[in-house]
Amino acid sequence: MYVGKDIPRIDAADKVTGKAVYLDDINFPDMLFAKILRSPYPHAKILKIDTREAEKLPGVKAVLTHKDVPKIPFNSSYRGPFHAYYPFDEYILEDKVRFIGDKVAAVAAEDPLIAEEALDLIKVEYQPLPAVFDPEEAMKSNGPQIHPEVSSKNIISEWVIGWGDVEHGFKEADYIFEGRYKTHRQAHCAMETHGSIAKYDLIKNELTVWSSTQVPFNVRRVLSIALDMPISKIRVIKPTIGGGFGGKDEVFDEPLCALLSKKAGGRPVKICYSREEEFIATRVRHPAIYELKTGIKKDGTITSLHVKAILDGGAYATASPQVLRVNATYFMNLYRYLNFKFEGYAVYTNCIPSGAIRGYGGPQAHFALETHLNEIAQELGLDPVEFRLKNIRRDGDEVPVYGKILGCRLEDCIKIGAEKAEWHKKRREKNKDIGMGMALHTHTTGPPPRIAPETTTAIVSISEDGSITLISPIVDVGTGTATSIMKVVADELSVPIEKIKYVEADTSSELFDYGTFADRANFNGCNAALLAAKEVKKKILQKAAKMLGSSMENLEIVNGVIRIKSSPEKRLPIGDVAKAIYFEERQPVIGVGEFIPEVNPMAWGATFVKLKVDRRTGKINILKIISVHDVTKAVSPEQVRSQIRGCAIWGVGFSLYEEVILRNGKMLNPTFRDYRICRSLDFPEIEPVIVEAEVDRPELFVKGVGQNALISIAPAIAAALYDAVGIRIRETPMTPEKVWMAMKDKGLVEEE
Amino acid sequence: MWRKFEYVRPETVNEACKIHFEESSSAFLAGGTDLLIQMKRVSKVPKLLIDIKNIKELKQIAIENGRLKIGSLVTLREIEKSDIITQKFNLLSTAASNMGSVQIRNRGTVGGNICNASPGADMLPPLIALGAQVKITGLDGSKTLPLEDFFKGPGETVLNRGQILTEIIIPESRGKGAFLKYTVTSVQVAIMNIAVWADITEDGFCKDIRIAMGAAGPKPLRMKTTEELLKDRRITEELVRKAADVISNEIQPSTRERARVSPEYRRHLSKVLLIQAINSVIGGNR
Amino acid sequence: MKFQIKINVNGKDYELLVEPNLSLLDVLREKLKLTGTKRGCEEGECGACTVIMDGKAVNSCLVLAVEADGKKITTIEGLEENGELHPLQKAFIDYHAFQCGFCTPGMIMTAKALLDENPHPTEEDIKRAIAGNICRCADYTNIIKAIMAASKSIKRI
Repeated sequence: MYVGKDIPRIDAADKVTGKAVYLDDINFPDMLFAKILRSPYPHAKILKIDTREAEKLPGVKAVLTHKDVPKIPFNSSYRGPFHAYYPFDEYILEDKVRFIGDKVAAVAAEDPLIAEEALDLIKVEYQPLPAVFDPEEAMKSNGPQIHPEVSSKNIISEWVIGWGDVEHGFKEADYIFEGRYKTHRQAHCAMETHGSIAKYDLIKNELTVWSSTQVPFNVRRVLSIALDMPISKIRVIKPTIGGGFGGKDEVFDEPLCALLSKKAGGRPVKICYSREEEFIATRVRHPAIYELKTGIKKDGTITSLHVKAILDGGAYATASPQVLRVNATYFMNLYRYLNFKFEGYAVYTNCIPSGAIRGYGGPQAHFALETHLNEIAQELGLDPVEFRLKNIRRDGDEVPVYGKILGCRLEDCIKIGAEKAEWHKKRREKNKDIGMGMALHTHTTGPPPRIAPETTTAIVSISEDGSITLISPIVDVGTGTATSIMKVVADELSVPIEKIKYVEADTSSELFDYGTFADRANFNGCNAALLAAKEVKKKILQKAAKMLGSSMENLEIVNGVIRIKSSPEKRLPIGDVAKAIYFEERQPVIGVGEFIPEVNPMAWGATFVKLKVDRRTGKINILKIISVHDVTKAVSPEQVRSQIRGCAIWGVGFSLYEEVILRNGKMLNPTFRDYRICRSLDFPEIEPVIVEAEVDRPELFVKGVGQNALISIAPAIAAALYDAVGIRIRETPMTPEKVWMAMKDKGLVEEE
Repeated sequence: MWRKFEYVRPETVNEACKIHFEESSSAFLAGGTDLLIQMKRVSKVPKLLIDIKNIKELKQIAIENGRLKIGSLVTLREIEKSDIITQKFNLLSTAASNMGSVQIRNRGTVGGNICNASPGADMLPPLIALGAQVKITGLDGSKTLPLEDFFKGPGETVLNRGQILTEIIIPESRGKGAFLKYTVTSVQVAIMNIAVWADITEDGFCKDIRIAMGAAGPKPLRMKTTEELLKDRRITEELVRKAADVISNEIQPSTRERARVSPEYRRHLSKVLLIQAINSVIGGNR
Repeated sequence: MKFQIKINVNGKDYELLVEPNLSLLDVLREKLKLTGTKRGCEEGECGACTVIMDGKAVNSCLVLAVEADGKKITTIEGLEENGELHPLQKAFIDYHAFQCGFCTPGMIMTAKALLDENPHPTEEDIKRAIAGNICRCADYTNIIKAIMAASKSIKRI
């Protein structure tokens, strides 16, 4: 069995030798290089734009402004008709700019330097417009309107959901707690910046795009909308991708690149973002503001939770409506409340657009919810672990959006984590300035079922020599998904994995897939491939049964050889059977898997953090993180542990270090010099814990684990901080200065 | 990617100075770990880069008449690894070893770190605390001045066109030193740093002390008022605490919007760093 | 003005005519088509472009091509010998020390420079050595394990 065993990944040799081909490694002899002119204003109307000097510069082959592009609105994150609530508020280029870094014009030239020099020669006359940077300000009716065509009071999307009557619930409560929590912007910082290459065939009117993307089929769809081209004329190919983390979950400059190629007579055009562009002009984590009000009984029962949420969506809607909806589910899915109400808004501001980023709103919502509940437990003198065990969701609970909860091992996660952290023992030992905290999380495996559809396909074929080809549209963003999918097929067909060739399908295969986000890749990819493998296995066994004069039920496959169970000497290699099917039956040996999940195997987990606070500087030193995850089945255990460790570090970065600092819409720290990322020396001890479940077909329930560990880190740190020195921080990041200020207010600071 | 510029690689100091003097839009290129980054962020770059790395005489570390001489092209990595420096002036090698990454230290030079004149540059406080002099060579000869007088403000030095920093000279002096750097994550530029060089007797009497801080003002600062308080006194906990109060008023914290921490926090940090640095020097004495 | 430079890359001599504003990274990737060395930030902060120049790890984005004149350069493409992976490459595979792989070539080159200088590093030595290489997938644990394992296997040779 390969499932559950660690083997070298199929991309291993290419990645350690530098042979893996990423977007920027693709070159064509006649390729042009494009650069984008970006807005220095957070909000402005373009009155005049003069490109004549730029066009005259030798080597410049195409210049585009808003005058040259179709006037078709789109949403770069649009996943299909079910996204009817997504505002179409973007154009390839427009006569208005809405954030510092917004696109104004683009140049394609013989080399990147010429393109850059040409940008200097474009004369733009702007009329600056009043701008708004704070979402609560933006929601006031009298301020600047950023997208009046599609919104009023700058509201991108509104979402109200709940059950019972929260006011009634508050009346029934013995205690009422209220808290306001704020989170900040975080950047993806994939090591590979965004990039694309477009090649527009003017004679055939066909477009080929190579893009560093997590979602090739979505890129194709949005290209088709934005360029008004038939889908059949567009092919999107994803090379090896150097990290996505949600940042490559939508269209960026593929349409612009396509139009540049068209204007340059069909020569291929490459756009690769600089690190600064990556910071200022892609996407960030939604800053969020939450107001929570909780009613609670003396026995710890939560009678009522009322959540008011405001997400700062920045200058364009992109995925904000969905991030908002998913935000509500975190609150709804984790605990039982007698009455619940979520009222949330995603709001436009003149800031960098917010979008999908690892955790998808989870770190924000969990910081608020879990910090709030930890505060309640601390105030009421309840053990946070016991308090949670009393209120958590359990199997069989019905929740809005997701339906019935199945296969939930959250309780085990808490208990295992508490034991490993020696929670009950260690919490009694009081060491100066050392504290422990815990928090829970839940996350999705695939898009929430009642909000978005879900399906994927795969093909498994066996050739005449017995070698196997697996074609899957799943995008491996670097997590090792492709290898995991191969394992499932190898196990189902009982063949050595070396016999399988993996083909990552691009859009021309028409094996439709939504792309890699929401931790859907492994779950959907493994299951579709399993169905395909089963189908082809059936064909092989049927034929083998005839050839061996046995019934299908009496056959087994062992190491690529089909044999009769009772007389194993009667055997046929798979290849011989396949050959017979091809040349005797004159049929292909192919299985097609179409997977439509019946349930969303929601993922659950718990984080325990131990830390020490430096009273002199306010610096938090993380001593240990225990990160426990209900995954049902780890197809590739070391990859899972790697995901947990890497993701937990994202959580540490989000909690303590990483912040996109904006002043009047301008990012002050768009470099790795000033944007603090955890490096090898900043890596605390992290113990990943995998909790599996005994189920018949574990692959049907493989839960996502790529985004989860980070979600509950910040509230666990906040709780540990309170445990250590008795201060509460309700706003991320918990920087040394913030901690110091809070300690100072309480007279806790030391100088030596 | 940089905008276009010309490049020249002279073999002697004199040649380099001459080219620099004649071309008003030129800059000296040493390790390039500051200059080449700055040049990527702007569309206007110097017309000419004068690569001085072929000038061999600027690459020596040597002891001459008890004085340590460091050529301006000596890399940070060489300072980190130099036996002479680690043995006698460990605060210098400590400072070098905590700057940037190995890759940066392999290229970045001590002269470059000085001439870039960043108020928080890590090499500056230890050199100032050690009483370093710098030798400036121009077309009309050489002169030597104390390093602390070399800086005029952020990114600004006393160097004129046609002048080059050739050597750093550290006088022989009795004492022990400490260097501390405060950052939030590793490899980052210092939020604040401090160097202390002091001659303190076995029984805690401070015969001489020099204190310098980085990111405490528009240029690296020598903390003379604080020094005066500590000099010719017996170092007690109480005195150090008093010195901490003095230093927190002596620094000139930036109120710029871009500054990453508030002036109030910076003043507090200066206290913490001073106390820790003095304790480290005394600890080293014991 | 263009400059004639001579560089030795992975044991092979090249004579090239370069503009002063080209970086060593540009030359490796664009002129020599050695695309294993990655462009991550072009500001010397991420280490994805690390190569070994005259025995030292450097950010090739911060070295002018003209500065590399006369130097000996090793890139990730130069580590295999006779079709055999370098012990570091093998260890990175065995210890699952990569995910998206974009930082991997630079990480391995930094590790090689470390082991060339210090064949028996401690865990702390390794952490300090690779602090200039950002891995955003961020499982440094396995990277450190891989480098440690490679240092032991090299010792046996």
